[in-house]
Amino acid sequence: MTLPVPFMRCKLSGTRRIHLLLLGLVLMSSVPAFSQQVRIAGKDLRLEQVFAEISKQTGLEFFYPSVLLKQAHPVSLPDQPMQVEGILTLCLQGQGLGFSISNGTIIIYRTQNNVPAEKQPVEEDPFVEIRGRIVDSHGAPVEMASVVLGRTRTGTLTDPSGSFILKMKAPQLTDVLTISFVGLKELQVALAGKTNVGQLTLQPADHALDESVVMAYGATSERFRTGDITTIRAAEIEKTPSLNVVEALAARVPGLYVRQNGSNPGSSYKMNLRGVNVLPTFGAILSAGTDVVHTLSKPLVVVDGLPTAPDLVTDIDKNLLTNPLSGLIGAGGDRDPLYWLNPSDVESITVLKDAEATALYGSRASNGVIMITTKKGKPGKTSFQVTVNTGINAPARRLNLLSTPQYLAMRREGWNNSIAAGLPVNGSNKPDALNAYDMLVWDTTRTTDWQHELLSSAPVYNAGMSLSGGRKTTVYRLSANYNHFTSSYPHARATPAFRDSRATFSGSVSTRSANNRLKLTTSATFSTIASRQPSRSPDPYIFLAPDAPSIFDSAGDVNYKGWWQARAGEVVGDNNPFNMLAEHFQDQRTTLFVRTKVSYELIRSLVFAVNAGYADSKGTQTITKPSSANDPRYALIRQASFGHNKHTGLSIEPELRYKVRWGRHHLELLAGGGFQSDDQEGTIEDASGYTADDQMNSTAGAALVIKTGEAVERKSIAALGRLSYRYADEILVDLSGRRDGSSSFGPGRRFGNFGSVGLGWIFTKASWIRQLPAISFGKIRGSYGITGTQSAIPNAYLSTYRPANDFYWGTLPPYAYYTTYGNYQGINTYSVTRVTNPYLGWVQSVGLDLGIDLYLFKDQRLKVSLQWYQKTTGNQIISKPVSTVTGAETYYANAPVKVRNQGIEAIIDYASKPNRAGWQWYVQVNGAANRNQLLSYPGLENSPLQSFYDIGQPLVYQSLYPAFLQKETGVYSVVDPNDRNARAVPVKVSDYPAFTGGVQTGISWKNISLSASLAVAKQKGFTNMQGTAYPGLLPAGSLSNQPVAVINDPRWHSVADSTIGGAFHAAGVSYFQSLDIYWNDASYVAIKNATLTVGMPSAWLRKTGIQAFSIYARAENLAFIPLSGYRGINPEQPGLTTQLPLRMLLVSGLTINL
Amino acid sequence: MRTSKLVYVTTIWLLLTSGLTACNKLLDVSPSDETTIDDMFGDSALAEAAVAGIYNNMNRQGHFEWSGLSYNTARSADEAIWKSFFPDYFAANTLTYTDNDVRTMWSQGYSSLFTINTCIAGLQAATKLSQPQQSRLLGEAMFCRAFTYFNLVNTWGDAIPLITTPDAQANQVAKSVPRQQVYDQMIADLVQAQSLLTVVYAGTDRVRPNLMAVHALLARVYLYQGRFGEAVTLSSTVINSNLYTPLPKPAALFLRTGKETIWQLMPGKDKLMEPVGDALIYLGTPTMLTRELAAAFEPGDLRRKAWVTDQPLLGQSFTTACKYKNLADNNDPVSNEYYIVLRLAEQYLIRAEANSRLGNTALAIADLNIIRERAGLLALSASLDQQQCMLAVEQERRVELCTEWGHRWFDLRRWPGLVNPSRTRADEILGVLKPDWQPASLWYPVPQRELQLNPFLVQNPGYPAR
Repeated sequence: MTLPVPFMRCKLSGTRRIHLLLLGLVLMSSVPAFSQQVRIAGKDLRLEQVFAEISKQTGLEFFYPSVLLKQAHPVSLPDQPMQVEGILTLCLQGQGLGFSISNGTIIIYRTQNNVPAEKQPVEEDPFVEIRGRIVDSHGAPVEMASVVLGRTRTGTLTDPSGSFILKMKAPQLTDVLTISFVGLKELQVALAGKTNVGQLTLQPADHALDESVVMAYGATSERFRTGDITTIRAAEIEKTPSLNVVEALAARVPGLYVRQNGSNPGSSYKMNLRGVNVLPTFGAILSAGTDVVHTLSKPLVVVDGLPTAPDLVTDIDKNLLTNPLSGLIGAGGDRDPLYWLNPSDVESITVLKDAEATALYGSRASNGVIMITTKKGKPGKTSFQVTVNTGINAPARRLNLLSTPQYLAMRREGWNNSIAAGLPVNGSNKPDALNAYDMLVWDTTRTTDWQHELLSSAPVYNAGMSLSGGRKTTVYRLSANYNHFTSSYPHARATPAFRDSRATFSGSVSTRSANNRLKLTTSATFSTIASRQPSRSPDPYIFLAPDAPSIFDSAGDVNYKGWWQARAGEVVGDNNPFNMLAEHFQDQRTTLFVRTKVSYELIRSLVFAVNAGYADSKGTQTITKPSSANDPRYALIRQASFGHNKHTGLSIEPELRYKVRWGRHHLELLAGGGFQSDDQEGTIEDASGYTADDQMNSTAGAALVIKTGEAVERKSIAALGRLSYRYADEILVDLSGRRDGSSSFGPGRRFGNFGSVGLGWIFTKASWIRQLPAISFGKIRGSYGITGTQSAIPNAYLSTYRPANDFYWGTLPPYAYYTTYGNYQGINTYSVTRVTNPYLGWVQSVGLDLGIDLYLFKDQRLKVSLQWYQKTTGNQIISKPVSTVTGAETYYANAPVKVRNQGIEAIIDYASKPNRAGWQWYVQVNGAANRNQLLSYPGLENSPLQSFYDIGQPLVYQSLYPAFLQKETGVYSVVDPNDRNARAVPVKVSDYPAFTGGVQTGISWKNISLSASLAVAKQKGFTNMQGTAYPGLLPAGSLSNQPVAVINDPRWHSVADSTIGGAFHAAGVSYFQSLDIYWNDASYVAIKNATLTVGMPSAWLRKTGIQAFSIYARAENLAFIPLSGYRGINPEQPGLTTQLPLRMLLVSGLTINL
Repeated sequence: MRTSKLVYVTTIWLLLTSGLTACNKLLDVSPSDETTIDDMFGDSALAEAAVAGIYNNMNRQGHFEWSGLSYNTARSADEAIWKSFFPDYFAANTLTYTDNDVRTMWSQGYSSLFTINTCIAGLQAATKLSQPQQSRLLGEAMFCRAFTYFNLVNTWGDAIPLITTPDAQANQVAKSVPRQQVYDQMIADLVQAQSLLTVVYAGTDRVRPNLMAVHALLARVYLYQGRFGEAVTLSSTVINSNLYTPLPKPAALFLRTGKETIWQLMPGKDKLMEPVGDALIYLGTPTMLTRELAAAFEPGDLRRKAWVTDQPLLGQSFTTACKYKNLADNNDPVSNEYYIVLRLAEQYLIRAEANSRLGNTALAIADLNIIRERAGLLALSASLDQQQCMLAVEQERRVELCTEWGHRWFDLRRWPGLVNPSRTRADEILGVLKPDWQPASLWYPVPQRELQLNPFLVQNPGYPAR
């Protein structure tokens, strides 16, 4: 007979099986699985032909590996109907094959025993199968652990049950298996002829090389990373008593610049990685000063993989004076966007610096990424921990300022010089009650060190508890913390003290199914912050004249009248500047942050996961200026401001992971996507014209209310992928790419592509180099990639209208006439918001990195790591000057402006093993040098920014003039006034530190440990000039006191002293803050924090049943040691002319683990 | 195994990527504190607010529409001078292309056009507005565009680019066009506005242009173009509408309720903050009328007393303009004075000039006499010849429209010289009065910044090209 062409050869393919299973389910009722009759006849039929015919006649499917039939001999079948089972038995007889039928599928398998010896193929199964199972210290199976045979460097991965089967040829007695998993200690097992190694337990990693390192969308280890990643762990974070986790990064991450903007614990931070990249637009400069450069270049911060509240850059083309999005601010300035997070809930902070590490964050990664991972529960014994501490908040540094007699001597000398030089003050050439009230009106027997009045120490209290535990499949952690921070600012009578308090609650649950395929983690954090501060910071007033009158009068109210007197028909004296102590700022904020991650292993090694998060934060602020904040000389206007702002963020990120180990090849694939939306809204109502103080809790009683508001909505969507490949655990290749779409740009320009290549070579693995002396592990790595930055201007592409008049106005006199503002015929008119640029696109950074990591000596306890980088940020969005026929002077456009940052970073790390006596110590030294340069800016000379930037100069700088000392008068000027041809040419100098470094060191003996973190910066700044004053001068606000050191400054006394230094002057000095002579080295060393912890001995603990008990003392900003003649109050930011005092925290407390 | 994973990966990847492209729409945002163009012109009240924004914007343009034009051109002509320690480059006709006031005039003119062009584009695309409202708003915007171009083209001549869309990409490289092309656009806009507007004023106070305002401006445009017959027809339509007659007395003319007002601008909130021109009202800054203008008023002219004042300052008497009296009275929520742009007297003068040019001197003198009669002056003789008649037109325009909206400056430039018609009347008159006068002074310089940023702009003769 003739047979049809075999319809298919069924291989054991997964797809097929799934399809068949599905088919089988559908056909279950109609296909009788057994006892079907078939009729096949023929001589010397190949088994494939027979199987195909059976399939055709019965609908049954065959399953077998094709290799199985290679050696099978043909069969002959009689022409008669037979049962399927019968015909199969006939066919497979003597072939060494068997069959089974289930669910409409016939499976053919080998029955080895029956194969005659001569029939067995020679090349089959030269392999030996080595079996084993890997578990962690809690007994849970470790899936995806890598099992590698050292000799051949081939290997496999464990399955969800932790089991593995490694096939190997020609085993040798000396073979060793290396079993590793990220975060667990590498294990080596000698085979010694065994084929089953049994159950092996991997202990938690105690070595830096194998610790789990959080990276973008995943985890890696120090050993195999190709990107530049620095990790700070909980043990280090808890050494600082700061309430903001950002503080823990200071001096610990090379290349990270961290400075706090205010002296309140919640004040915002400047934070930049490897310099500033992003050029602000013209309007942003005008509205926010140079700080905006830092804000625009701030790294992306993600918590548990999800972006948190963004830094708020106000939409400057709406010309709003305040920023309704961030709300009203008080003495502490802007609130830091991470203040809601309690540092004791943080497990680790990972700082991603280069393009390889950050490329998966694509559009927002240009400035680097800071990833915060919160603590989760750990399986095992339930642990309940309580920690309480208390301490003080005190000034970190006090200045030695002039006493009243010294001060008056300086002033008199200044007056004498000014009179001699013919320099009048307020038109008068001698001291009088108007221009020298500090000498002639105020009580010169008073001496006040205003630092003591304003910066005294105040108590702080912190308490926290956490509960964690769980079984193998479900773990949980709950925690609650409360921080109370009192302020040292004095307060007026009958008002509550200034303070700041925060309560945070967080919880997380992780669970997984018994077969380990489904995993779920949910966490939630809620925080509430309440704050009462003066409306402005009184800090600058530490430089008040030492004989200035008291802040409060005898009744405890602000002492206005004591500061001025009416004399001879004129008011002499000064305004009491402390009315802000009667003007109260109150802030109430809540933040809720919920995130969930679900993952499911679809089939072996292929995991689908969704990471989703929702953040919601709301704030309300008020500032009230009651009658007590009003100098009685002026008309009483009671004012109150009310701010409401909120932020909602949503993020959903699905992903698919695949991991395989095949011989020497190890491959990990990730494909994912993301959707994010951010909504911010804010309003500020400024109300005035109240008739009584007690009306000021709402706008209802106000005669005039001005309302400003702003809303920003951003959305982004992305697809991303990563391929990580390792060859023989020696060559590392990482490729990643991301396509990002953002609502910041118009249709057609929304999508940007970002990506990177990372390469690594573990050269100590190479056979020809393996036996290096001293170097036990060495890796060279490099990366190149492109990352992006979104536009800071939310809707620059969008053509829109806004009401010409954002405000609504009161109708009561005297404000009635305002009602017609922006109004035409009773219509509140609208105006076009901006001249748009639909072609606005992504800012792009191109980064190149090279690094080397070495672990020295056999114990690998000394690590040296070096890094070189160069990053160029181009296609920047600038306020481009444009022909006004467009309707505007400038508009937002991409320009080939390039900013380059390059630098080197180094880390040396050593941790000793505990010696026999129990001593152990560690030291980590890091350092970074950065050079920031504006490489090109076509059209800068026509740009409104031309006075702000210079090609070849850094983005953040000060303009200084060479000082010229006038011989006759001792007055400094910027040029020789007698030289008609002299031109003042400013020199631009950077106030970004040229070198920053840190040293972390600690020593422990048994249960006692002492550690410290030092910060070093090599930088320049204003070393002599403090505040607004020049020695001898009485500027407005009476901020005229000076450090005592000015008395001994070499200075001009007569024409003979022509070169030694400027004279004290009471008049005629201006621009002195721009003179280069005051710009000097301002390098410093600081003890950023120090900790002493004493734990109870274990014998004692055993007796009491307590798991752990320790007492501790912690300090932050313990000491600042200027390395040069810096005289100011804030060595960290000496480039600012108005400097804020630094805060020191000293706390002591105890921790009990029950 | 492998194939099944591949199918999974491919399926999910396809879903993600197709999701991405499909989700381009997902990235559309509409900020809640802003209104998109579509929404703006999809709502009757908002569309009204957008067009009202054109007038509010004009109010804010201190150097262009809102009296800056009147103030600056009055000094460029022979009407006023700013008394100061600093030289008055406008009065001396020595403007340079870096002059900040000229730059601001230019940019504010185009800022108005941007607002107007945005409205026109939005209204033309609008689908949800009622037909009458859409027509009216579009007509107003078209009128405003023609009005703005009239002032621009008469200040910079052949140097201005013709901008008719809000597209910044195209506009930043727009090239200068011959002024006839601008006039053609103005006529097209006004003719279209004629078909869109009615004689009914929208709202109160004649602060939005109606059909008569369009006729009045078009009559002026035709006059400037030498299309005298059409100018006569249109000005007659306005005059004969009886909406603006009888002419009020000079003292009662510059009031919010002035009878002869065809179109006026409503001042904004705080009138002190509005840039009120010294050419129109005495504000303490010594901007004096020239001796020549003060002397141009005939004895007994009621306008001299009503519109010109002699202010004492430092022991001297300064002659200043005061067509408006109390614009600065900010205690008055509803001012009794708005800023008049078009009024009927000009229509009589347009018709008189056009008739005079056409040789209809009798008709011209009749119209001039209506204006003279209102000013309390004797009627002109009916026997004037054409040249005498033109001089009478010149005299009457000079006095009646003094310091208003650049009339004198524009007139002197467009009129041919009496002695030598190949020169301009400005050359004849200003050439005698002003030592630094050059024929090139007739046009203002294109600001240097504009020339540097847009290579397609041309400079007016007599100024540096770049």
